[in-house]
Amino acid sequence: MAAQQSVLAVIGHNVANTNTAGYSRQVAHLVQETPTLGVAQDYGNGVRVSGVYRQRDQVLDQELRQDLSDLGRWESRAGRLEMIEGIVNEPSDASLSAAMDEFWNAWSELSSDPDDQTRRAVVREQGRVLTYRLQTMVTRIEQLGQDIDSEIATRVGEFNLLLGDLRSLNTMVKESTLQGEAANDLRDRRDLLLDQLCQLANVTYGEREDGVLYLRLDHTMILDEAQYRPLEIRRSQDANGQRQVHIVLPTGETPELASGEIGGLIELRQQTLPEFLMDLDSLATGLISEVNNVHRAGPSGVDFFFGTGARDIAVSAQVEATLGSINTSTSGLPGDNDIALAISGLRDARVMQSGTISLSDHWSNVVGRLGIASREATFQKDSLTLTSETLQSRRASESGVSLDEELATLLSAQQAYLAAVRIFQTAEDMMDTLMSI
Amino acid sequence: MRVSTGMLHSTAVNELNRVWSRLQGLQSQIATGKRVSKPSDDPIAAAGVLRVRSQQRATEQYTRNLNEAREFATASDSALTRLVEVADRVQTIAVQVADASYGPEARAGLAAELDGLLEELIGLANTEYAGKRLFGGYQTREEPFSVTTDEKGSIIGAGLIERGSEGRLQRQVGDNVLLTINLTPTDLFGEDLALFEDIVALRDAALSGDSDQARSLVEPLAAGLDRLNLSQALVGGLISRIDGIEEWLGHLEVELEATRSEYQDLNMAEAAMEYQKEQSILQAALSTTTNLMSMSLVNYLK
Repeated sequence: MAAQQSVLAVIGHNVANTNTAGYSRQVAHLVQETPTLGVAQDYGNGVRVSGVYRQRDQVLDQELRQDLSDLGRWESRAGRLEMIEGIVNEPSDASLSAAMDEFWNAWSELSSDPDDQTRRAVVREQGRVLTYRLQTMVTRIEQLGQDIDSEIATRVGEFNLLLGDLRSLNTMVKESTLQGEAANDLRDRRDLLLDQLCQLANVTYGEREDGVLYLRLDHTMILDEAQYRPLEIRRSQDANGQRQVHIVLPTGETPELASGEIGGLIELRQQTLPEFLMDLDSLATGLISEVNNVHRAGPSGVDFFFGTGARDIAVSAQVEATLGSINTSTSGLPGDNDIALAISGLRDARVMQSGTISLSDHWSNVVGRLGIASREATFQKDSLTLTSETLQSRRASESGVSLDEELATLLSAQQAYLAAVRIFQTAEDMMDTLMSI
Repeated sequence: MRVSTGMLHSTAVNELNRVWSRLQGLQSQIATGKRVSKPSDDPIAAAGVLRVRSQQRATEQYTRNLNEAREFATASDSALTRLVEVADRVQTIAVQVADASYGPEARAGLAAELDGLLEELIGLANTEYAGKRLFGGYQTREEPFSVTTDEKGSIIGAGLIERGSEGRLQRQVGDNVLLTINLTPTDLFGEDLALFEDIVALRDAALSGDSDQARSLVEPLAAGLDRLNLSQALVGGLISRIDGIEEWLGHLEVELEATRSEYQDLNMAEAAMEYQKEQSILQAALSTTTNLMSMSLVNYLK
């Protein structure tokens, strides 16, 4: 009877935790009680609960965590790449490529009436629009970089919090194990935290005999009986004055974060964004030097553009101040337009990539590459989401509580209990009958 | 396969999310009419759209330039028509003056007419259209041609602002396609404005009665008239060429738009059908989910 009561307790626990995150159903294992050995025959002694076990597939857990780690990386990548696409805003009529086209058009329009002041004003205005779009794009990308920076800080904070919790759980599990208990619920909690941790970074793990969980990050031990190494963020500036972000351990090592959300964010911050900004810069410097080279040859001798890159490109101060300083020809005669024609002709001039492609082609290549990267990230994210859902489904199949199952077990335990009671009563009756003789 | 209670819920939610996601994607495509709104929709097509739009914007500009060129050419043509008439009249007068039978009064009258024609020629040479001088090369602002007179006010020749006056005015009407749209002073009037010099000489001959002088001027003046006729033919040819380029740009525009549409536009019928399909999937999913989740052994226990 006692055994059946224990079974009831386990069922109750399971049913109560049907919807608890990370809960693995527990099963009371019933075994025959050790028989009493007799001379002529053995006497059975009934049933006892040999232990309450957690239904958990460790291999499945490992697979799923690997998936979650990859998913974390691709998810953070996909989201941010889509944001970059939003900033780039191509194809559209309010984009960088549109601004470039309108700039060349303004020069072409000026070439048809080189002496006209209104057309000069339009050229200056289109120059402003173009430089503004470039600058704005840089600002927004840098802002995105800063957002990613704070996101990294948040995630590292989360990571360290989880690490701390795991450390405390390790102590508790070890104690429980020493006392011979299964510590099922503690283990469940530990597994749940481990799931979350793997999503953040590519940790590898294992459990020691005494129940202590150890964790490695890229071959370095970050959690063990004695070890505890939370992550730190180190910021620095490189040779170009660009801010760098690195994840380091208290020992000074810089682990490689191949996957996980933090890894994905670091990759964006250290690689993807700087590369994009470099592409913008080379577009800007190409534009500045090509236009200025032609423009300088005119009577005013001034540059049309000022700046060293996409961050500071602007219409030159002289052009801003005086429309007349815009040169349309080398001779300066009212009908001559060789400079205006030449600048307008830069539209197709092969001035990028060692003279193989035009400025516009360079930009459409950048846009194309962005599209491919974003598409790949979304594809990976979707596909990993699917596989992780499948694995989680299998885990639920293994470890999840099925109400119907529990209730069926409940019924059978109830029956067994009633039967035991019945037998007990009958035995008592028999005893009474005997006593009354 | 063992199915836990939680599984039903999460499987349903995940699948529903996917259907909603697909529906949302389709909806925004249909609303914009565009299959490619951002590079990741179709990276190759997106890059293609950028290129085509660039070409379209350029073509629009070339068309604008071409129209302005046409106006310039047409104005030149009108001026030339009158120039030819004047030169023809001068030719007639030359023959008359060469005929010694004209008396001094008649000849004085012809001389006066020649003075008037000279002034008109200078005026025509200075014609401007939309603020630009047609025949002064790069000198498109100030009057390039002028009349030179002596102390007594009689015309002795024609003057010209020389710097840049032989310049060719070029217009961009295609990728690396430049069109020259003007005729220069030399094109119209010969080296050193020969025509004017000859007319002044003719007037002097008319005043002095030098019929031999007049006779020797007949041929040069005829050559001058020929030159102007040739110029007008050249302008006519220019206008034809402009027509041809306009037609070509028109074709190009149509082709470019077709290409852009192929890259970027949505096949509406297809999209609408997809949408319908997803919608029915959603409905089916929703109803089966509600149905399943309300079933449980609990309902049957007493």
